[in-house]
Amino acid sequence: MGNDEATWEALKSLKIDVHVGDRAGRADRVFFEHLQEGLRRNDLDKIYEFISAVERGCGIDVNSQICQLIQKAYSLDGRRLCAFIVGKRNLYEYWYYLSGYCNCEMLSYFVKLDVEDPVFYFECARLLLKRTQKNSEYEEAIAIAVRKVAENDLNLWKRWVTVHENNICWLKILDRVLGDLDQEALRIYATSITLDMPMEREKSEILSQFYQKIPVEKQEHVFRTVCNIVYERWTNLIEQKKRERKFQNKILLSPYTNFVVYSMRYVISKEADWESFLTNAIHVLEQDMNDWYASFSDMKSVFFYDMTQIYYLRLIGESEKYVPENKEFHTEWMKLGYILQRYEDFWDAEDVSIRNKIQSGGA
Amino acid sequence: MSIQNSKNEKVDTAYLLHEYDALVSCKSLGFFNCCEMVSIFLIHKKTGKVYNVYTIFSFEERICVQERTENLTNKLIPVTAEFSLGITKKIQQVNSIRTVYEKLCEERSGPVIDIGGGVLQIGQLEAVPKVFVQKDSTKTVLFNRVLKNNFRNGSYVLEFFDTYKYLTKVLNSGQLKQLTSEIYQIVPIDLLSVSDRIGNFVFQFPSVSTGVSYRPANDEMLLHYHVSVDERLENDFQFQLQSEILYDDTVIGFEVADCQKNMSDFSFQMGDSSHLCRTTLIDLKHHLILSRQETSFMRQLSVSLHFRSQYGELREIYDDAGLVKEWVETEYADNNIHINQPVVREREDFIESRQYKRRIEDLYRRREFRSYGIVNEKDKALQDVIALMNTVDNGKVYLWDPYLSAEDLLQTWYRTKTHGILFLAITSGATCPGATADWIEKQKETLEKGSNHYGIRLEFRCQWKNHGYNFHDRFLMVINKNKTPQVWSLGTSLNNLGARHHVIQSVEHPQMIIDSFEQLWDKLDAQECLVYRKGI
Repeated sequence: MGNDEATWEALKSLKIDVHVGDRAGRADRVFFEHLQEGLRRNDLDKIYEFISAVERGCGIDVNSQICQLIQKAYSLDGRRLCAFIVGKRNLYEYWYYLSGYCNCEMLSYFVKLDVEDPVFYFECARLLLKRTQKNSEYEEAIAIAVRKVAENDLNLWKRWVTVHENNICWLKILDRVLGDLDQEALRIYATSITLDMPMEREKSEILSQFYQKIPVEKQEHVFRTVCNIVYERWTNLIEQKKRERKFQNKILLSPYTNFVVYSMRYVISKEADWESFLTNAIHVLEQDMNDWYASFSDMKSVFFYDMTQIYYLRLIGESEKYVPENKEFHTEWMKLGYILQRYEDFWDAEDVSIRNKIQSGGA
Repeated sequence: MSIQNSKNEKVDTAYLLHEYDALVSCKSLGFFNCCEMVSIFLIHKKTGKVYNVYTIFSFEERICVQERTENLTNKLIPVTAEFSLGITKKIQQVNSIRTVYEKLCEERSGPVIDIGGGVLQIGQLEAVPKVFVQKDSTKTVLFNRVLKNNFRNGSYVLEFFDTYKYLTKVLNSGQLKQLTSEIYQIVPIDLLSVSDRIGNFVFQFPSVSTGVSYRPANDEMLLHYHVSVDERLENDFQFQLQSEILYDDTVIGFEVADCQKNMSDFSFQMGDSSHLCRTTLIDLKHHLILSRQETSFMRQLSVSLHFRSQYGELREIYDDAGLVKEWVETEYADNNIHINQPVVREREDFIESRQYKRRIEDLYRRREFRSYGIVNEKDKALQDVIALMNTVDNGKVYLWDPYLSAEDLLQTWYRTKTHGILFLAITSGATCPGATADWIEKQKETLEKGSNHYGIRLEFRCQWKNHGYNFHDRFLMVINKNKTPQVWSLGTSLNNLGARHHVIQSVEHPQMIIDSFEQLWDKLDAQECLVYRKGI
C-alpha cells in the first residue's frame, strides 16, 4: 500500500516545463509564443497550433520512467489517474499525458468517466480519432466523448464539427452522435457543416447514408431541426453564389448532396409542394437566362446554380415517384426542355448523363 | 483637305427596313418572338427634358412573352447637379418593334423622338446598315461590352449612331466616368470603354439557333468540328462551315464544307491547326453569318508554384543602428510544372525571331520607341522631339516637364514648322525653391527676347507654392482633331535629351495622361503661375 501511495506522490511531484531551444528557428519560436499566449488566455486555437506543430514535427519525447509510473497508476486506479490528469485543468498538460503515456484502452476508459472539463473529452476524442483512422474498435469511445463535449460545451462542439468535418473516421460515427444531441447542439451541427465542400468519393459515400443510419426512433428528433436549417442554408448559399457570380461550370455536387436532397425532401413533404418548388425553380432559371451578364462564365455559373436546384428537386421526384398532373407544371417542364436544348453546349461531355436525367424527368 | 464635295451618308429607309425584316424573320438566327428594350436616359432636372444615353433592343425567344415595363433604377440617380439617371427595361412582342425601327429611320435627324416612352432628346442619328459582331474569343471585340450576352455565336446589329453626342459635350470626363459606372452597376453595359456609342440606338439580333465547337487533333493536322442546329429549322436548311488558320499574315490552313441540317460532325484536314483559327458558319439561303470566332489553342503551359512555410525565417532590413526596422516574408518559387506543346515546328523560331526584329524596327520608325544616350545624342534626340511635335496637324500640343525652361521651348517648339497651333506647357518651381518668382521673370524675359513669335500660340505655366501638385514624369502630348491622341513619355527632361541614357516611348493609354495634364492645368490658373502667354 505504501508503495502504491508512492506512485501517486511521484505523479503529484511531476512538473512539466516546456521551453524552446536557444537555437530554435523562427517557426519553433512563434509556435512556442503562441502556446504561452494560448495558455494565458485559454485560447484553444493557439494551443492546438502548437500541439499540431509538435505532432507533425518532432513529437513528444516519451520518458520511460514517467511511462511506467502512469501505467502503474492506471493499473492501481484508472479513475484516480483520470482525476489526476483532469486536475491539471490545462489542455497542454492533458495532451502531454494522454498523448505521450496513455494508450487507446486507457483513453476509452477515461471518456466513460464523469469529469468537469469538456476539453478533456475533446482531447481524448481527438487522440482516439487520430490513432484509429482504420480501426473501428474505439469508435464507440469517440462517440461517447464527442456526445459529452456537445452536452457540456456548445462552442467546443462547434469546434469539433468544424475541425473534423473532413475526417472520414468521424463522419463514419456521426450517426451515433447526432441522435443523442439536444436541439441546440443539432442546430450548431447544421449551421457549421460546409454544405458545398469539394466532392470526394469516400466522403460522399459515407455522407450519402449517415442520416439513414440514425436510429429510427431518433430520426424525427434530428431531422426536425437539422433538415430545415440545411435546406435554408443551402438555398441561401446558392443565392449568395449567384449574387457573387462564383464560378460554376457543372451541377454543384458535394459529399453532402444526398443529405441536402434529403433535407429538401423533408421540407417539401407533399407532391403539390414539390411541383410548386420545381415550377418556381424553372421560372427562376428562365428569368436568369433572360438577364444581362458581364461575361459568359457569369451566365454559365448562374445557369448551373439554377440547374443544381432543379436537379436536386428532380432527384426528390424520382425517389418519391411523383407523377405530376398539374397543367401549369407541364408548361414549366416544357420550358425546361427548351432551355436545356438551348444551352446544350454549356454542359461538359461527362455531365451529359445528368443533363439527360433532368430532361427525362418530365411527366 | 477640303470636304466641300462630300455628303453625309444617308441610307435609304426602305433599304434599312428590308434589312430589319430579313434579320427579324431569319429563323437560322433565332426564333424571335419578343424584344427586350433597355433604355438608359438622363433627365435634366430643370427643364425635365429626357436625353437618350443608350438604348438597346435585343431580340429574344421567350416561352411566355409577358409585355411589361420595369424600372431598373428604383428612383432616379443624381449624376450631376443638373442630370439624373434612369434605366428602364421593357419587354414587347416582336411585332411591335418594327414601328419603332421605322420611326427611328424616319426621324433620325432629330432633335427629338418618341418611341413609346415619351419625348427623347436625340442627336443627329446616322443609320448603320447591318453589322455582324462576333463573340469574344481569343480576339475580343469591344462592341460586345454594350451588347446583351453576345457569347454564343455573335449578333447582327442595326444601329442608329448619334453623331452629335450632346452628353459628351455637357458632361466632363469625370462626370462621364461616374455616369457610366452607375450604369454598369445596374446593367453590364460598359459605355466607358465604348464611349462612341453614347446616344446610340442599337437593335441586336443574336444568332442562337446554331452552335459551333471545335478542337484540334493531337497531331495538330486535323480540326474536329461539332455543329448543333435548332431542331425546329426547316429540313432544307443549308449552311457552310469555313475554317481558316492564320499565321504570319498568311492563311496556312483552309477548309470549307457545305452542309445540311442533319450533319453535325466534321473533320477538316488543315495541315497545321496550331495557330489562330477563324471559324465562320454561314446560312447559304439568307447569306447571313451565323457564327464567327477567332480562337487560339493553348499549346504549352508553365506553372510556377510559390510557397512559404508557416512562420518561416524572415529577411531582415536594418536601420542605421543595425536594428531591425522591417521584415519581409519570402516565398520559394519552383517552376516545376511544364506542359510542352504537342508538336514542335522549328521553322517557327526563325519566323518569330524575324517578326520580333521587324516589330522593333516598326516601333522605331513610328517613333514609338527610341533610346538615346549610350553615346551623347543630344542633337538627334532634340530633332526627334521636334519631329514628334511636328506631327500635330489641326489640334494642340501639351508638354509636361518639371525642369522645362524658356530655353527648352526655344530649342524645341519654336523650331517646329507648326503655325497657329495651341501649345500648352507646364513646368515646376520645385526645382528652384525660394527663387521661383525671380526665375519666372527670367523665363518671361528669355522668351520675349528669344523670337519674334511668328505663328506661335503658347501658354507656359509653372506649378509652385500651393497651386496644383508636384509631378515627376515628362510627357509630350499631340492631340489632333478626329484622331486618337498620341502621348510620349520622354524619360528625361528636355534639357537632358540625349545626354544620358533614356527612352522615348509612346504611352498605351494616352487619354488618361491628357486628362491628368488638363486637371493640373486647370489648377494652375492663378496669375502667379503664368510664366508666359503669346498669341492666345
